[in-house]
Amino acid sequence: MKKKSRFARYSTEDKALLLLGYILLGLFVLAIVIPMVYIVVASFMDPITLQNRGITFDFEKWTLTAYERVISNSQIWIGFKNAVIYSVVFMVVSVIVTMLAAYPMSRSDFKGKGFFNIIFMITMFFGGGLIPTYLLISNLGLLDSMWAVILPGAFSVWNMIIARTYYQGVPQELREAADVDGASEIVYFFKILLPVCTPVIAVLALWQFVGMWNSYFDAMIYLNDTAKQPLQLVLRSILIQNQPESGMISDMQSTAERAQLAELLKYATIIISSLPLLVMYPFFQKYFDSGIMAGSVKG
Amino acid sequence: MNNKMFKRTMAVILAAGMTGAMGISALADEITFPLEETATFTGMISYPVGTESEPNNRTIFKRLEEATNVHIDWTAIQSDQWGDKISLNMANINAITDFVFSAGFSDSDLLRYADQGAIIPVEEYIDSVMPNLSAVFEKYPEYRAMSTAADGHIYALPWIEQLGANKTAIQTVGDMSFINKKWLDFLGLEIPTTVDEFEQVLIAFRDNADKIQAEFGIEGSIIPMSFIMNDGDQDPAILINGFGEGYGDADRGRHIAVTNDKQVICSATQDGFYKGMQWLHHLYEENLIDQEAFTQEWATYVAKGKSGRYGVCFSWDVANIDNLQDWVPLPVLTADVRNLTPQNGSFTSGYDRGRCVVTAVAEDPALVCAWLDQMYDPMQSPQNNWGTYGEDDDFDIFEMGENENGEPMLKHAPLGDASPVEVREAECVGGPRAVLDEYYGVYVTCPDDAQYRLDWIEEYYTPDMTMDYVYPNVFMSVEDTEELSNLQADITKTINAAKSDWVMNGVDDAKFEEFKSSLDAYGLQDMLAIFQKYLDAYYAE
Repeated sequence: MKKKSRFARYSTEDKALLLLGYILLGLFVLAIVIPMVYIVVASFMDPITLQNRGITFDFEKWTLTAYERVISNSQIWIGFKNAVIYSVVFMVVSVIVTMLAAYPMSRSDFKGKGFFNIIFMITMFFGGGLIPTYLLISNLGLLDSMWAVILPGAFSVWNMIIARTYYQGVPQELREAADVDGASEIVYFFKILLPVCTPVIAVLALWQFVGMWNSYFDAMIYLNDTAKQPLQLVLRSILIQNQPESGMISDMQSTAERAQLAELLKYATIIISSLPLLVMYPFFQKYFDSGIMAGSVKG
Repeated sequence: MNNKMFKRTMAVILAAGMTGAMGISALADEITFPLEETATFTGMISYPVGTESEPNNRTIFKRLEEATNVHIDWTAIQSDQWGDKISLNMANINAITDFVFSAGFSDSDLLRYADQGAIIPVEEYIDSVMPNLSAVFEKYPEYRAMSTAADGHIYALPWIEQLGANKTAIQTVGDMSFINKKWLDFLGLEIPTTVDEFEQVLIAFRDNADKIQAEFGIEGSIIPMSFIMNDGDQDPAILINGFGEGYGDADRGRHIAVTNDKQVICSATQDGFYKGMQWLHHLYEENLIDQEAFTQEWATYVAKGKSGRYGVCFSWDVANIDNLQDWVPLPVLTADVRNLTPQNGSFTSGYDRGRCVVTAVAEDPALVCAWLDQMYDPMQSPQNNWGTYGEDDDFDIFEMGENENGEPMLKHAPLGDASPVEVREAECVGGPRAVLDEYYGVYVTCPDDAQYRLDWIEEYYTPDMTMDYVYPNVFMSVEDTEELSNLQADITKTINAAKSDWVMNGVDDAKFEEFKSSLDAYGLQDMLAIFQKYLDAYYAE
């Protein structure tokens, strides 16, 4: 006799529910996969064919022109290099600052905790505004240097709160045990607390890396030198056409040409700029399960 | 900012304010270039994406530095970031430079910066140390009038580009209509001259779609007529110019026109506009208009054009949409009358009021102005506008030749395979300049792409321009600029929405009356009154 599958053993209502779940999840997956497939295919297509007929899997119609244009653009490679440097440095600086700030804030015996809390909270709700912030950066002498992009956003209150909450979830016994063995706060923090906090460090690091990778506005405002521009800013320059000078005759032509070029490069640049992130996620994924605390305290 | 710097800057600002008030008496010394001692200024300039980022490496500025002995420390900003950065830099005393070469400020920017004391009035320097610009202003006093603010000051140095003049100016018709001559010949049809003939041609395109498609191997379906509603030069407004009294709707942004007795009217409340929209709706119902005409973007519009799917389309130049060989401009269509309304502001050609400003931090504004005047030299302006000659690299826009009298003249050089835009962007520097109509053939040759368009205008359109006036490019006061932009916010939106709605869904008397009364409720009469005030002042001079 054939063994009944697990599915067949469910009751009718359960089957219906399960089916509904599969359908909804399936639709959800499709909603994510279809745009991705579209972009991948569109990046191989001539913009005029794409506009007239939509995407096609007829490989004879495919072309590598867009990728050739992107890869032969030296500015994109400079931007790529800058984006990697900025994102890595920003990630490191930001995680260090956040983790260090969160530790005292997690301790109930820290004096002035309430005061600092208020100070931090204020920055979550109010900012200085664009021009005052710009003037501050300018007067600090940071204009046109990578620190103008990295320092202002390095400390994020939101991330600090997350790290603090995570610290508070670490069993008190750990600190007590370390105390018995004569560990100072510093030793405890670096040798014991941080290692058990790898999941939250990984999450914050990934967030900050992705955030910096995708950002262009600060770089646009504070950086002038083309050699210092990150990838997103370079892509923006390619995609957003030059403003034609008002009434300039030849610029009418140039606008038209540029619109075509932007159309051609649009999808290829999306792929190139998201590749590093796609590659990174699997490496970080293993930290996302929180089983790391297991075994640190013997009950 | 350190304190000393601040004091010094304040002193300069105050001093500049005082000289402005007292008149410049200390300028008696003539400034002659090259200077005996090297002078150094700071300037801000924009450059196109992907071109040389250090302006001093551009041939034009290298030659200027040699000729004038003036060195400029540039702050160069990529053009796509210009808009965001210039307002920050204007607010930052550490970053502001002696002059802003390619400012491109709007009227309200100019008046605001002038009010804050960030930029200085230059009219007295123009008279005393700017012979080239003075000569332009003397020859064309209207440019001086257009540059002067309501308070009598000139706050910026303009950009002027003339191609043709008055009714032959290249800007008189922006949204030219083109018809596919290849299809007409294939079907044995004549170029239409009235709205009815035009309709018959479109119907022929529609009914013979299969034949056309097969004959020319066109991918995708045949579209008798396409446009982009309310999108500047891609708008179909030119078609309805013959209806009613013939005012059409040439000003797609503001929807105003000027009658022969110098009255400003709203073109969208005229009977001609109403009848024209009804006619377009009729074409739409006949399935002669692209279904996407109200929603498509430029890229889609061009993609369909490049595949050769259009019978009639609208743009500045059909080369941008399809090609030059298969297409001819569609002449003015007769309906009730035969008329073409030129675009407002077009009689004075290309003109940008706020192109270049001198700021309050300039320690020697007279010298800065004298240097900037070099840009208005008849041999210099065309180079700043298009590009230069005699570079070592691949291609140049110009080669140095001679005119009929044996004097040096810049001749447009063959570019071979190079893209004209790329060569131009790599060489030209923009900024303040004046290229006048009388320069062509004397100092410079007329560029090809402009020349054939000028010929079209003269051949197809100028004879049908029966109206005397266009609304001039006037410089309004701060209050009026603000008031106007408030009024226009609602009015323009209502008119633009009505255009799409009427062509798609039709319009009847009741709808039109309701539309007119809602415009009045939004303050249409106040808006016209403001325009009228400046028109009266313009012609009073």
